Amino acid sequence: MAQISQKTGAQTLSQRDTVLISLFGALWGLMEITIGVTVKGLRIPMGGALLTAFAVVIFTTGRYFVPKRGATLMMGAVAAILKIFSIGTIIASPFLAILMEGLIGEIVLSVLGVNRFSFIFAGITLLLYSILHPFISQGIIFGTDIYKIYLESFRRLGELLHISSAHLLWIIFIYAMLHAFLGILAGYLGFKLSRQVQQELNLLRSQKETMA
Amino acid sequence: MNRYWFTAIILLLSVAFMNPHNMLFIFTLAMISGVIIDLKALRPLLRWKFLFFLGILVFGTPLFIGSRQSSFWGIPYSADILRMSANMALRSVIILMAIKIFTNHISIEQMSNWLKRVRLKNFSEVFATSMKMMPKVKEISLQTFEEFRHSPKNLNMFSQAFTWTAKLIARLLFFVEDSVIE
Repeated sequence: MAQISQKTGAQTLSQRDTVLISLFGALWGLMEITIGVTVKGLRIPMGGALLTAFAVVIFTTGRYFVPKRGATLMMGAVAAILKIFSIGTIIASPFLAILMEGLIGEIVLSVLGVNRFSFIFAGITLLLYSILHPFISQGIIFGTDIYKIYLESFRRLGELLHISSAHLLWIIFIYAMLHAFLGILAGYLGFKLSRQVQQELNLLRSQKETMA
Repeated sequence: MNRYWFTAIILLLSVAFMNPHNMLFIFTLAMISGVIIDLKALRPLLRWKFLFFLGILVFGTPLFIGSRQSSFWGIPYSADILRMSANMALRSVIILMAIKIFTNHISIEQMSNWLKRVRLKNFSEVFATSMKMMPKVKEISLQTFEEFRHSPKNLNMFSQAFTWTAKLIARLLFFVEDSVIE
């Protein structure tokens, strides 16, 4: 294997690592372009959450094969640029959303390491963040006053429907739990897929050796 | 390039000083400078979905939220919320215009170089590699998809998709490892 290596942040990346990060970044980007367009076009409910769940499966699998600090963030950066490249013009929102997913995934996996728990935790964190992301970006664009409008609308809606704030909070809680469940599923699938890929890869390697 | 960056930054800074008292003044100045610098930046702001959202925000919310002590043709509304909503709407127009001016004049390469500077030092190489391997990724993916379509469906849909996704990623990894060794 080529012995070229580069210093990135705290850890050294071999040429194999660099190529694998490129591969998983490209896969993530392609997923965002193809499934993202389909989900948006069909207006599938919780489409954003579904996309995030797919992203979790891809980057956790990638991290399993490149367990180096900075790998997930770099995959996210490749995916973000591919996404905006596909649109033809640079649109800030999807670019920032994918970069944030990469950053959050990176923090969780750097702190907790590469294991089943960290993959599931990364899934939960990201899926919960996907609920908050529109509010954060709207807060930046419209200012913090938008939260006052939301809170007041929330209270008003409760009054109109004769539902107490506690009940509305329960609805939000259930929605968040749905996201968290999707996150658990994505993290678990990411871990299971990584192991399955490892098995398939070993099979391909042994087939190659037999043929050689 | 620099004048676009400079205008975008000035517009973003002006938003920080915006309040219901000076919003019309700042908005007018921002729009004039935006039109002079980059007329194309205004195009996305004219989309009906965005205008509809602003319409609801400015004219809809004061009818339902806040203390509705003012009245317009007998329709009660909240003057405070109207001012607040108008401020938010004008602020959003300026911010989106600033972002558009900035992004209209930045290339993918500049973006990639920028990410390289933000602690992702060998990012440009990673990105270049991913662009180079894209045709092969597409070829392997299509080939695997064809095999998946013609494979016997003896598992349920999810298990089948899971197995073939694992096969696809393993094939891609195998190809990548092979190319690194070569």
